[in-house]
Amino acid sequence: MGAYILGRLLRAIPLFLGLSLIIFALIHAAPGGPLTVYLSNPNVTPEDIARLERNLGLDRPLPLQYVSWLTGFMKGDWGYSYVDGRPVLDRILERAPATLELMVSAFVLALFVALLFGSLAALWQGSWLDRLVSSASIVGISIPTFWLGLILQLVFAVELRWLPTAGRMGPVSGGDRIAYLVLPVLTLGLFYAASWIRYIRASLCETLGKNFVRAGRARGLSESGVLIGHAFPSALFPLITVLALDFALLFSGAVVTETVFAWPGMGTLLVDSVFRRDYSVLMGILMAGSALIVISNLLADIAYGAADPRVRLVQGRTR
Amino acid sequence: MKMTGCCVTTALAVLSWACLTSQTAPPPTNDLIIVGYDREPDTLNRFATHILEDTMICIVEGLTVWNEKMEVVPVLAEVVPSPENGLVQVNPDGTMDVTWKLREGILWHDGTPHTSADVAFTVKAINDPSYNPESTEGFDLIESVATPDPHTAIVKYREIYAAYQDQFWRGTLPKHVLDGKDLNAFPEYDRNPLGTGPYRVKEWKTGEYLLLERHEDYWRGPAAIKEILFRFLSSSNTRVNQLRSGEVHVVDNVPLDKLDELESLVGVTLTRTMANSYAHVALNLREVPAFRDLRVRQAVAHAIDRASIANDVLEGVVTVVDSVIQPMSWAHNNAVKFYDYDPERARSLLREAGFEDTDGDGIVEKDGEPLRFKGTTRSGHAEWEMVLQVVQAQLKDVGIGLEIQNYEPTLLGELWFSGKLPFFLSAWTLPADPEITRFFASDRTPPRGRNIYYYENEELTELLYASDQVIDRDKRKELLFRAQEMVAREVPVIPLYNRTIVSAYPDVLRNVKPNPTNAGLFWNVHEWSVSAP
Repeated sequence: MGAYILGRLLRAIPLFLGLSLIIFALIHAAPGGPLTVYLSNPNVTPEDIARLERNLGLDRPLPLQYVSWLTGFMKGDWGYSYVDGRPVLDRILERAPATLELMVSAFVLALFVALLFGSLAALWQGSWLDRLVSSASIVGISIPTFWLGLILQLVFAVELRWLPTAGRMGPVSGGDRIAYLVLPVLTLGLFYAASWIRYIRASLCETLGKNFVRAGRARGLSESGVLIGHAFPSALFPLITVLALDFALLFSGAVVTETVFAWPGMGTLLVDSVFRRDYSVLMGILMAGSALIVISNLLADIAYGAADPRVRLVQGRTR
Repeated sequence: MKMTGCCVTTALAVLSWACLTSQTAPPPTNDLIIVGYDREPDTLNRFATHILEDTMICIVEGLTVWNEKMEVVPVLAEVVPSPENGLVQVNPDGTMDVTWKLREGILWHDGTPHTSADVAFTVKAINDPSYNPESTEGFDLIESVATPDPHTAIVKYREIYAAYQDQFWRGTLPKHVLDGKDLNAFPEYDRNPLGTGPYRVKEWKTGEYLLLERHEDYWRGPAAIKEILFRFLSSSNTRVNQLRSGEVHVVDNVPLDKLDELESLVGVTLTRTMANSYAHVALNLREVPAFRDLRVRQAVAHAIDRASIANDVLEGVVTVVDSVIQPMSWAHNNAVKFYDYDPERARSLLREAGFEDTDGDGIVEKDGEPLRFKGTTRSGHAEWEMVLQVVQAQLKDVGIGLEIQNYEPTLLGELWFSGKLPFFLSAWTLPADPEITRFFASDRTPPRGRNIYYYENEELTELLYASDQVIDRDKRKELLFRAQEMVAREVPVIPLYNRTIVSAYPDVLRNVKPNPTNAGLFWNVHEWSVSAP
């Protein structure tokens, strides 16, 4: 197992190098730059822009800028923000806990809701409950996250005043930490819950009709014993890959959710950095996001191997 | 099923607990005011950024500031220097000396006296080529600063600089803290600057908020409000929602499309302030050859119904303006030529210029070339997007084709600065000094200046440069009046309306005096107080 993980990580290095080059090229291909925002100030002169470009190293050829960034990155120096001059790693690390808190909470909520309602819909297949859950899940997938967030804000914060509108617990207590977390987590989690409900329902429906389930019942196992001991593990086994990949994708959903709810995570930092063309911070966040996807994939494979004894992980392949 | 029920019960319990334990946000009191702020500052160093003066002005004071009437008033200076009080001297060799008399007894927040050495250090630091201030304008004209005593700084300019009164409105840098430091990499100052103002930084939680606390030894006496919390809320929907739910008390620059939602709010005052800023349409003479014909520019101006835009589209919140210097400025000329809405006159001017709709497609053409171009504004700016759509329809009515293509701000800035926007709806927010040379002098096209119209007029250029070299206000006013008349007549830019700043704050908050300049709402925060409802 250790050799397998090491092998996967080593193989990820050229992948990261390629990714870094593509990301760097794409970021710099976008029109504008870190100094464009200054142009809206009529007091800024061309000499000011030239001086800033020179001092920030933005006047160097792009290949040179890339090599400079890459050598620094490999030594653990992620560079400095063009916006506030602070180390990129500091800026990302101070935001990462908020994003992880949001992602993990939304993930847990989505999984809980999906398992609960996906299973209920499968167990009462064709019933009014099944139809209700299936319809609700289609609605959940279809609603834009941004719109859902605003509606939840209006209902629960503005009208009912049960929950705070946005933020993550300021210096003055307007509720406790969980209260601030509820609406962003609902906004982010419901989309994934809706999509996983459909997945779990379909998988469980298929499993419940298989011979080994019928055999279990024929041998006199209780219904809960059949479900928990046989049907669920078999039906939910493929979900591991979906969950692992979706966990990484939650980050993209977090970008929208964080913006709506002024959640101080990496999503809002990413949006700010895109608009300000803060190249070094953008590189840092996108590389961290890439790492998250690679690690999620690796964890999925490891979990797959752990969950199914028929799958053995060996260096070079899964079989 | 028992497990299912248990899980549902647990989830509902957590949600209910979260809801029930939450409390309503604290009301505005002299202990705390909460501000919903549209962005997070990059830095609190006033020289390193031009945005977000609101937060900085509470901490770092200038030698002068612009008041609510856009007059320059002294803060750390005893008086505003002028030729009349003998503190401005124009020398026979064309140089200029400005003497700043500093108020005595002013202490930085750490107790060190604020002196003329800080003024001299600031000039030296800004002019240091290795430092990255946002702008060096005016500072780059300073030859030296003499400090005959701790409360006198004599600033010697190489040439006459008409905007000298604004030179130190951003304040000074504390020499005793910053001397010998790398100002480009000194986050201790950038995140917690030493000032002389009524507040200082208590906590800056990145991405969340900036909390300011009252400076008890403030030289004008401690402010009435103990703490001010700036919450960073980039979404205008969220800012408005928080204002409605009472989680924030103050929101400045309320988007005009949100006004309806707020007007019925109980306990909230909405003020409308004419800003030193005007929305306009810039005609790019380089990109659209037809615009080089004055008659075509005049036709475009006559085709736009500005009164309808102001009164119907923007519900009368804004005021139509004709000049490029705004009404609250001492240099504003309200008698310039204006172009009333006259579509028939517009069609006639187009015909005179040789444009006719010969193929019946509704768009006029000349030599087979239709008068059609792209119109742009900032995407996501609901007000301007709406106005541009109205302008599009009005131009279509006289046979001019406008294809709307909006861009996000950074991309827009790049295209604009490279002169690639043929027809651009935007707004300038200006400092109090009425200098407009950078916008209209022939040699101030990007990147040298902001003549994004690529308009060339030598007579106007000479007039504008002359106005920059005059200290006497009456003489300068006369020159600027003529310049405004010329710009209005030649119409490279079509002023649409004065931008209105809408500020929302609690009824119980006293002495709020919204400021038309980029000094912002908080310029007199030391005077604010909350009275009992």
